[in-house]
Order: sequence, then structure tokens, then C-alpha cells
Amino acid sequence: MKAVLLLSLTLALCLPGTGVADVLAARGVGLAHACAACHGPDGQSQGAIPSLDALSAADTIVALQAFRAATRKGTVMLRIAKGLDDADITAVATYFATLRQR
Amino acid sequence: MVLTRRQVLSLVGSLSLTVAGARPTWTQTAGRVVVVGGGFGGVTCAKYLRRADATLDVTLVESHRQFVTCPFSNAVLVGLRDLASVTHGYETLRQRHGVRVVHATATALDPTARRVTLDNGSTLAYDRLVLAPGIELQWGAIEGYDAAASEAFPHAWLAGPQTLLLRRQLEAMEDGGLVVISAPDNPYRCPPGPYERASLIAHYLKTNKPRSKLLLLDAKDTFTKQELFRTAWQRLYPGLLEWVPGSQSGRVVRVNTSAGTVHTAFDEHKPAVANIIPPQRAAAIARTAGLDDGKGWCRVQARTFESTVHAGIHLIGDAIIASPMPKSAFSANTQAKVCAAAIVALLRGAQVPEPVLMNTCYSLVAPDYGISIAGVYRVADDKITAVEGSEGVSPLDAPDETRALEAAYAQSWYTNITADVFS
Repeated sequence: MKAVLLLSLTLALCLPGTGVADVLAARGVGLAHACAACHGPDGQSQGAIPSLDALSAADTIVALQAFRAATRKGTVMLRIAKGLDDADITAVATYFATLRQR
Repeated sequence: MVLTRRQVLSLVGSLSLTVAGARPTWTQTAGRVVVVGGGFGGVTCAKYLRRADATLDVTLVESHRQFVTCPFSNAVLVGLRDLASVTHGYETLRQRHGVRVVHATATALDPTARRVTLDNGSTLAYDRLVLAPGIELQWGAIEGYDAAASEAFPHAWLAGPQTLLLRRQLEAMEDGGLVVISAPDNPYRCPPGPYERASLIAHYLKTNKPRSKLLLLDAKDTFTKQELFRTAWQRLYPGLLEWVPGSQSGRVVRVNTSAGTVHTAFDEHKPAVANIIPPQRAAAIARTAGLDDGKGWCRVQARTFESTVHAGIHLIGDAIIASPMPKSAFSANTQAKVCAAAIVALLRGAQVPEPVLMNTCYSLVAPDYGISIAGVYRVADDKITAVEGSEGVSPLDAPDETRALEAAYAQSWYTNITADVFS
């Protein structure tokens, strides 16, 4: 599962300007904007909530999948992650990874 | 020359206006958006509109020079924070994000001419209008409870001077006094708010005035996070905090501030401090032009947050019914972002993006004891629905470390969301 996601992520990153990449990028921005309400602008958090802007795409994907499967300890993310599908997870992970490269 | 859909529409509009002679042909701009209301919804929307398209002409209308947040005002109430820590200004919105901020009150709308009238006598023309005016309190819904009565029995449901008034009353009260809180029927701003407030006041009393008692009179028989709150109350505030549901004469129907009494159908209470949270409805400007269908709250199209009554007017935040999303700062913030993205797309004649809607609400039951509710929402058939499994509250059997962690997250959430909105 993880390999498939990483593959689709890699493909999406390699094909800028294609329809798929555009949709994925737009979805990533929309999701990241929602994340900002707790994790801070551009995922830069102050205080106890973890920052997201230093994570690789793979780190974010692994974390969100684990929250969704409830195999990782957590609080609200155990619920929020259940609201994300595979495409959402790839999109938002890709978005935060681009912030890291900045 | 190939014309875009928007250019064609604009051309057609100009021609018909010229023919009718109603007003001169307008000059084409990137788009004028007026946002009414400088709270979580309005400020977020104005900021994200300009972030998405810096050529947009965005004006925010807000009467107050500063915004005092309702989130964490319960902490101010009991001395855990000061008012300055929950007060935010509009300078960054103006200077960094290029939003024109007008300190005035919007008094009337013309949905056809697309104009807003302000109380300073000026009018603002718009291509798209966003109303995020929040709530107003329904004076008189509880007999005897009006603006004058709220000086004796504060509501503290619009944060600011009322918060400080209730705080002073709690501080002045002698040990052994009775505090009464009256909670309204649904829907109202911040569903868990009355219960967080009762919790933190109980914490204050337990710490400072332990012989006192808190009576939470409720118009309802059930409330959000009920099992979590009641389990915590039993453990933390036994004998101090008593919740009275509506079916057991909990509904406050009348107050008499000169006699100092609070009345339910069968009981009369004479508290030392009374906090009356009255029924609410959408603020006045959202109820003009029939935007609320006469029902007190406004309905919107779920993908764009555009009014179901008038085209070109969008509504977000506490003034709308967006159930199952609650009336919370987080909901207003996430709705504002969806609304901003939709407006940018609509002005360009582009496809409206798929909405991303979420909510998380933390409540403090004690300074180191936090609980939460969260949900992720999708739009299908113009309805907002919670994604299965995503909507829910903290577990009932969580250990103390989890409660402490959620309390720390609550503080961090406040810092981060206010940075998202006001920086």
C-alpha cells in the first residue's frame, strides 16, 4: 500500500502541468489550509501541537495511515485521519513536503 | 479575439446597463469583494481571498477596532488568562495582506444593485459579498432579560466588557455563594461553551471559594460531549456543580434583576452571581433582505457558501446552519477558506474546487484537563455530511495524561488558529 502511494506521489511530482498533478496540488492546498487551523500557518505550530512543515512526504503518509488505522497513539488525529482517503493523504503530504524544500 | 465567459457576461451586462441608462458602464476590475464581520470567519476569508488572488479588491467592514475572541474567554473569566491575550487587531490584515479595513456597521443590502450601505453614510459596491456577522442575542426571549438586565446578570457570550463584568462578580462573591448559569436551546454559538464555562467556574470556586455552589440550568436534556463532561464533573466537582436538565425545570423563563431572581417553570433561584446565556439568532445584517427566510438563521449552498436566497451573497460562520458542522471558530475558519476559494473560482469562471471542511473543538474541564470533538466533512448533493468514523469525541476512559495532553493542545490550537487568522 505504501509503495503504491509513494509511486503515485512520485508520478504526480514528476508530471507538473498535467491534469492529475494540478488536481492533486489543488487538493493538497485545500487540505493544508484546513490543517493550519490547528497546526499553524504553513504547518508551523507553536506549543504542544506538532509542526508539519519539516516532514517528508513519506513521513506524513506513514503517520496519517497509522492514525487512520489506529495503530499509532493519538488524540483528535485518530478521528481526523478517518476523514481522509488515500488521495487526500498523498495530496497533503506532497504539499507539506514542498514547504520543507523551500 | 476569443472572449472568456466572464468577459462575455460583463459585456452583456454593460450593454444592457447602457441601454437601460441606469448607470454608466462599469470599468472591468479583477473583482471587488466586500466582507462584513471581523471575527474568525470574516478575517480568514479576507486574508485567504488576497492570498489566492492579490489582484482582488477586498474590503472588510467591522465596527470594532479590536476583536476579542470567545474561545478562551472562559479562561479569562476565571483568571487563567487576561483579556489582552484573547484580543487581536486588524493591522496585519491591512498591511501584510492588503485588505482595506473600514470600521463601520453595515446597515442595509441591495442584492440586485450589489451594494452595501454603511452607518457612516457610504455605500460599497461588490461583485461578491461575504457576510460573517456572527450572532445577536435575542433580548426578551427570556422574560425580563434585555441589554439593561445583562449589566446585572451578564451573558458574557460576546467576549469583551461582559467577560470582565462576570469575572468581577465572581471575584467579589463571598465564599458560600450560589452561581447560576442558564444555557439555551440549540442552536447557539459554541455548543460546548456553557459546559466548559461551568467547569472552569467550578474549578475557580473549588480553588478559591469551596463552600460555594454552581447550578447549571439548561433548556435542553442533552448536550455535546455530555458523558465526558458529566464523568469529569463527578470526579472533579462533586457536590459543587449541579446540572439541571430542561425536563427537570432547568429552562429559565424569566429573570428579575431588581429582585435578583432567576425563574424556571417551577423554581425560583436567588443567586449571588447569575450568568444568563440567552437564545440567539443570526446578526441583523444577515437577516436583512430575507437572507434567513424569516427563520433566524441562514441557509447556504454547501459547495460555495452562497446564499440560497440571493445570488452573489455568501454567508459563513455562526450566522448559518451548516449542520452537522457546529457553530465554532474552527468551523467559521474552514468555511471561510472554502468560501474564498469558491469566490476566486467563480470570479474567474473556473470550476469551484472540492470543499475541504473540518472541525475541532477543545473544551477545558480544568486547566490541565482537556476534551475534544472533531470531524471531517464532505459535500454531496449540496449537503454537508460527516465522513464515517471521523466525527467523534475523546474516549471516556482516557488516562489523565491524555486529558493533560488535550489541554496543552487546546492552548496550542488557540495560538495557531489566531496566527492563521490574524498574522
